[in-house]
Amino acid sequence: MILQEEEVRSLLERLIAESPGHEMSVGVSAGETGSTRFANNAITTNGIYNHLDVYAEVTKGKKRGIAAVDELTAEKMREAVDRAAALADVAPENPELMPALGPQSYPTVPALYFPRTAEFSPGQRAEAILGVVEKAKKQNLTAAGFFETGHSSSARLNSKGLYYFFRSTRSYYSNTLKTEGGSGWASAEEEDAGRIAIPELADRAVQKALGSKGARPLPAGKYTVILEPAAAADMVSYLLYNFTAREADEGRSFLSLGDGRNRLGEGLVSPKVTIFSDPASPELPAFPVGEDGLPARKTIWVEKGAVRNLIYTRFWADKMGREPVSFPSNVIMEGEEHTLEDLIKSTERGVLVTRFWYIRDLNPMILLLTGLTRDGVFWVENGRVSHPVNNFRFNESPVNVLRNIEMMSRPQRAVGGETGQSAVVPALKVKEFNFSSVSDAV
Amino acid sequence: MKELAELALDTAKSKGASYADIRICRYRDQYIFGRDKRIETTADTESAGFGIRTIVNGAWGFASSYRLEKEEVQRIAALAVDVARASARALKQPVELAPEPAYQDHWQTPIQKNPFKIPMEKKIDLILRINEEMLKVEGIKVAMAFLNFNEIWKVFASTEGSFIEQDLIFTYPNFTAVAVGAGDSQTRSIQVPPEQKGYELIEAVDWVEKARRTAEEAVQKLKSREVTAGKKDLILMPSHLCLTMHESIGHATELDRALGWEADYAGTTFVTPDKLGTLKYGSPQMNIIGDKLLPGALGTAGYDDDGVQARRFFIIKEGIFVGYQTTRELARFVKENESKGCAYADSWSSFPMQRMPNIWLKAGDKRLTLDQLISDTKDGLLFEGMGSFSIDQQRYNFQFGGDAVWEIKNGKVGDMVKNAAYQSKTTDFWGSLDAVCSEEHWENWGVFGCGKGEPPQSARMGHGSAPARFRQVNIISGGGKL
Repeated sequence: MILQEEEVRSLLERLIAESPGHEMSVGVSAGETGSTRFANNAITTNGIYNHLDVYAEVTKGKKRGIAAVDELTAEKMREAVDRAAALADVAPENPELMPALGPQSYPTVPALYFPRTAEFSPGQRAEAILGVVEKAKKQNLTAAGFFETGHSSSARLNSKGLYYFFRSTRSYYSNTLKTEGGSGWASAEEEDAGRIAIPELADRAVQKALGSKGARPLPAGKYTVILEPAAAADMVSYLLYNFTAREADEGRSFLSLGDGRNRLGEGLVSPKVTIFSDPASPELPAFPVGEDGLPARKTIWVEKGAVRNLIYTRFWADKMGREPVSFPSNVIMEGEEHTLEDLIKSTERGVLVTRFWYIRDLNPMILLLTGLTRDGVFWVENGRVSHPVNNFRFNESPVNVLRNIEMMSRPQRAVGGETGQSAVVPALKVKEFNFSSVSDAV
Repeated sequence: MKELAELALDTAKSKGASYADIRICRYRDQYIFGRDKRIETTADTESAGFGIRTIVNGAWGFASSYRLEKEEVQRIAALAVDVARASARALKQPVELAPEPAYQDHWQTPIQKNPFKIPMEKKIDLILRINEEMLKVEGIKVAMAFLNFNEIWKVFASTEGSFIEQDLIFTYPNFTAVAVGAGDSQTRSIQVPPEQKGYELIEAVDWVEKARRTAEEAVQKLKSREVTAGKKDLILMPSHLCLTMHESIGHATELDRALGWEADYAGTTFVTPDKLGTLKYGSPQMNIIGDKLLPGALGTAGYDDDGVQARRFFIIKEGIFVGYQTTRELARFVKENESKGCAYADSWSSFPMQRMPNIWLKAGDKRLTLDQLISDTKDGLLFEGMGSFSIDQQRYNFQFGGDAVWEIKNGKVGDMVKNAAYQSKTTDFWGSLDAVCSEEHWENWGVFGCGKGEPPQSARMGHGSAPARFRQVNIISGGGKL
């Protein structure tokens, strides 16, 4: 279901008008996604999935209730408002509740909606997958993967006049090609399905699968690693998602300095590192909406290694006398004028990592993460990829990773193997990366 | 409802489907979250709709909608048939469903008190009292608590003649104390498992006493010393073993993974079909049951989402792998004539896939108390609750932390240690199991949000056990400075 803005806005306005004197916010999000899954060189499941969420927040002084339904009728939406109002009546006062925002002006961002993606059919997905299956069969490999295309809309109106309506499309493709003793993977996510180069992604996974066959044993230990962009994306995203000022000020994070202080303004990682978010980025556009409907703008998080911004919720910013800074709208890291091949050529002895998997945090005070390599790990010697090696578990902090950077490629849009989300990041050459044990998985 | 279901099935058949089923579902979710002395969220949400699954020319098709109206049901049924036709173009083996009788039945969670009928004020008051109690303990910086109640009402109807109605209720309490001081921060959570029960689960617990003890233990944990890395004997409590079983046995013995159907996302498994009946998974003390019948457990139901009646089966018997989790579609791949009843979809808009039932470790046959087990352990660690967890894509190499860890020295529980985790390989680890406490120590734990599949789906399942001991497992320390 594609929401029509005029229809939705008038419905939301009517709801607000029906409850004069109430501080409230009403919103709708809806979408339809089609996805096709394949494995063992055949399609396994294929479906069309709809969603509709209609929500109402009613605020009475410092008390708030939230309710949601999934019917876009005036009657059902009124029911959501009534339920939210009843919840607000029984909720105790929340001293941290911030007043509703008035009308906002949102920055213009590159196109997020592409009709050909919204209209992508099960037949088109099947066609693309058949091409991948043919490639796999030619190489005696088995292909598994997932191809998803869809559209969604999101609208919100509050009683102070804050209003937005956005539409977007999204397509995501991932494939894993396997052979006896070898595995390769490649993935991409785009707003426009036409920009996903499925044959190239299949070729990349084929090369990784064939190249990783016959892995030789390499013991755990500290190595120089070259993290391809998919692996680097996970490291940078985990760092940024933990950039919360409140946790730091409360002494609960790697950004804490004790006595209510945090590392804002301090050097944290290598001076080579600059990381920012920008919803207007041409490479990775995003919704320009932050917390409570605040506009999301370009935010520099780390500049030349120093912490320039932390996430400040509206309440915490108010308490600390600062401007609010919303959660990162996207993740973008600057790189250097090199290619991945340059990074390999410069390496005497090291390990090339395609992607990570199953990353979890172990100790928030040093942002220690654990996780595993997957789908292609290679020994690099004297400037060239020598041979595949076994997978590893790592226990390492992204702070150390970004401290130990020796060289970077040009940044590119890549999907994190663990997060499944796009980031614009370079490949990273990093010294002393801690592989804590070996994994037998292929 | 029956009329709409029949309309969907008739439409699918008339468009060429050889099989079709419809699930009409309504989900309600109540979530109340409090931090410190205030309530941040009081939310009550619902979602309703239907999903139609068809088989055409041997291939699956699926479509779903939230508009439960005649015309929409017909449209979606026709769409599900079209999608199946598109899938049939890249088909290797036609879908064949293992036979299952048709059922007309109604099943519901046996509860004493419907949590949705308990006044919201009472739930809010409980959260505030618990947080207040935790904050009374010196060193506690943050107290967080939530109560989550879910209701799932669903109808399953198929072209084979089943019409099954189910009503399931889940109750999930969780409370955490955060201690901060001396450049460190540590958390401790209240150890009460989520279960398929009503509000009686909440009323059976002395929350204030638990809150005080939990907060005191958070402070103890903060002040404790770093664990020393090396090999130790481990005593794992049911609240901890739950997640280790889930990851290293539950996911490893899913037949769809073994067949490569999850290869692109969660991965495959080292437990390949050629090992069925022969793989030595662990020691003879290891008996693992797959089960959708266990009262109160999160994965229990009358029927699965293929319309298969709930059942119980061995996965591992005396250390030997003897059975996969299957669905009607999967059974034939291991030459079985009936499904184990493990199909599940997390929403009306999700395609049912093979998900874990409750998977639990049988208690030891001989009487063995926890005190006896501790007395018999010279140099070990006792893990309680869940901590960090990670496992590779074929379920060999894993690493688990705990919510709280104590040293065991010469048969006695000693000091708490912090930042402890253990690393092992699945069969080595279960091979080192040498004792499981007896029945009176068995507890019903579970996982409330397990992700699997593309698009990802979330599921709940129970993992009960008695305390168990594992010999000489590799301990690592997650401590250190930046």
